[in-house]
Amino acid sequence: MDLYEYQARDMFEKHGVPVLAGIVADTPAEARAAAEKLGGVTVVKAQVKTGGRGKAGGVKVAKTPADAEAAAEAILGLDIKGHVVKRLMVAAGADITQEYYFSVLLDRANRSYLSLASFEGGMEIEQLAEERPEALARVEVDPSSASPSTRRARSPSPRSSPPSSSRRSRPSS
Amino acid sequence: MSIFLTKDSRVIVQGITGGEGTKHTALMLKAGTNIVGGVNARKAGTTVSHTDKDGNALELPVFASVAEAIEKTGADVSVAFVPPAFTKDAMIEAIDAEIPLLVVITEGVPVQDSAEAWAYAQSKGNTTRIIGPNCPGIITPGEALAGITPANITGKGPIGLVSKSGTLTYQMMYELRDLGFSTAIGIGGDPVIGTTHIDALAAFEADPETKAIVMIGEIGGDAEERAAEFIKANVTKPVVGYVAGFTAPEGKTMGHAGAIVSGSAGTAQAKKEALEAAGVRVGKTPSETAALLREVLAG
Amino acid sequence: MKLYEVYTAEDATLVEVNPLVLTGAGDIVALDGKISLDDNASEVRHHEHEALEDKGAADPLEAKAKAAGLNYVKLDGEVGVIGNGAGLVMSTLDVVAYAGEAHGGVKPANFLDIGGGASAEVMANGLDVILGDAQVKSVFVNVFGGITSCVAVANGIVKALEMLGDAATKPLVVRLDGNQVEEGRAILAAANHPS
Repeated sequence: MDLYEYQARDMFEKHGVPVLAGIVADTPAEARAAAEKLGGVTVVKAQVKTGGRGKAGGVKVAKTPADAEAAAEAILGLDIKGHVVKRLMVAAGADITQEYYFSVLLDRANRSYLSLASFEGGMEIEQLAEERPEALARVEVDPSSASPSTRRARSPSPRSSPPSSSRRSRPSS
Repeated sequence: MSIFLTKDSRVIVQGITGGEGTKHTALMLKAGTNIVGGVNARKAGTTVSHTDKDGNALELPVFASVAEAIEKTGADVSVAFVPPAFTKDAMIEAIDAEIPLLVVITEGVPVQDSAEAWAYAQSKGNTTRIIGPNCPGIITPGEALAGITPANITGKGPIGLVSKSGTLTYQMMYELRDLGFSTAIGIGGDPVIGTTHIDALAAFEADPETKAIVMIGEIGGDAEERAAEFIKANVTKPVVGYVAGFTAPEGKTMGHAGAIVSGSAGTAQAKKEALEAAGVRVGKTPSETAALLREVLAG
Repeated sequence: MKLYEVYTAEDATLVEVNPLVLTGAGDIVALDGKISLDDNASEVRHHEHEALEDKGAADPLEAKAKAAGLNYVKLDGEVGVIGNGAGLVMSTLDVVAYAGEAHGGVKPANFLDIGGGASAEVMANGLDVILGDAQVKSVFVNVFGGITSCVAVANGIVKALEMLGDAATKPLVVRLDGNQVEEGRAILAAANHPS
């Protein structure tokens, strides 16, 4: 399951990753209220599960709550690569000095985890990997190296099935 | 000959007392498999009743651990039917006991668990060959079955088969039932699996009984592309291929957690082209693939 | 790094921050992020992930199938497809599309895997979802009974047709092979649906 940006933001916050304030809005009026609450410059962002939002006009900077309302008006209903925008996130503006890229992902080919990092953030990573592969650092992460505290958090929750023959243990065919 | 599994293999079942474990232990025995016991820590010391392929009553001992089962029975293969939440622990137990072959049937195992178990097996020097998870297992027709493949489709023969998909394995065995198979392995459709197409191809290449190989792939990942490179460099026996999922749309997972086309990667077309570039003839359908196999086998 | 904790603790297959920014005040902040979660793990130990699911956006047929525990993906064509095993169903979609080329580009309407050891009820639910798709003009059932019994499949088909009654006007073509095939075919023959 892929998450929306606002869901990812909440999950980052839950684990102590620094994020900016953000409020979900489904209507222009809600976007205005969100911008008022956040104060200052805000960014109105389309919530769609696809890349290239910026180019498609799905991200707009708003100087005032009225701007945010107008931006929301323009973005809601927009079709971005077949995804119609139904929800927005109004986020606090940031004073950016430098942009980086960072990811951790499952590396199927090596049956391992891979971490990618770059000093050149902001652009599509596929494009960066193709045009300037030297700007992208790749580090293999050993799956058995996860910290003991995370291990504990990963034990089956009480609601999971008992250790008898569960429905999910059925064979694939 | 065959690969990985023979009539002499001594097989135990992890989860032998569960529903799936019970059902498939019976079917594996019926297929002639030499099952010597099972594992369930909470029922250690008891036995389970089954009948062998000749209909004789059999009391199979239940052990507390894989290590104990190996010590008492000389087992060299374990088949795991445990719920997904406990599969990683079952795998690590089997790896710790250094069982030579571990077949994990369970579907729905969290991928980080599979990755951790794999990393653990690596750190232990790879003494345990893992097949699966989320796979139908391995069958050497007429000799032994470690998994859930129907044993009555076909018998012994010159074809080696390796497939990501269970039902396509059965379909292909059925299409070529008059010829028969040396061994058929379903490696599973999860993003992280133990034995790969390449491992099976290398083993079939070395197996004197296998005269031709069928390789079945499906969308997602690049295992087929890597197998194609391997075939080009290392396989002298004829190989025919089949890839499922030409009509799969981008971004939708087709049943198997690993079966997803993302961007330009993982398409059936790309896999077919890579295989053909390595000299593998690729059929458009299972039937056409079976026909190609007959052609290459006839020389 | 906290981001790696997100990856492991939440059972993600991807955690991406782009851009991760350095602000004028010297703070590091994740400005935009992408997370993909492992569905297997959500089922096993992250039941809280269910709340993150986008129920409104899902296709109504996909939502109905999901509620019935079926593995269903809606496609654009007109031939409904049901089978057992992801590989066999994908393969069936391809075969339907190839065969359809000769008939003006007839295409499969969906992917539906009833999984292993499916009961009559699962089969009936699957058929119900597919016949509920207005685009579907005919249905192809392709089952190779490994663990799945052809008897269960046949009973499921008959049960679904009884349930739907006169609404079931679309032609149905069934291929059954493998486990208990003779008995399965006999059930269909008795119900007057030739396989």
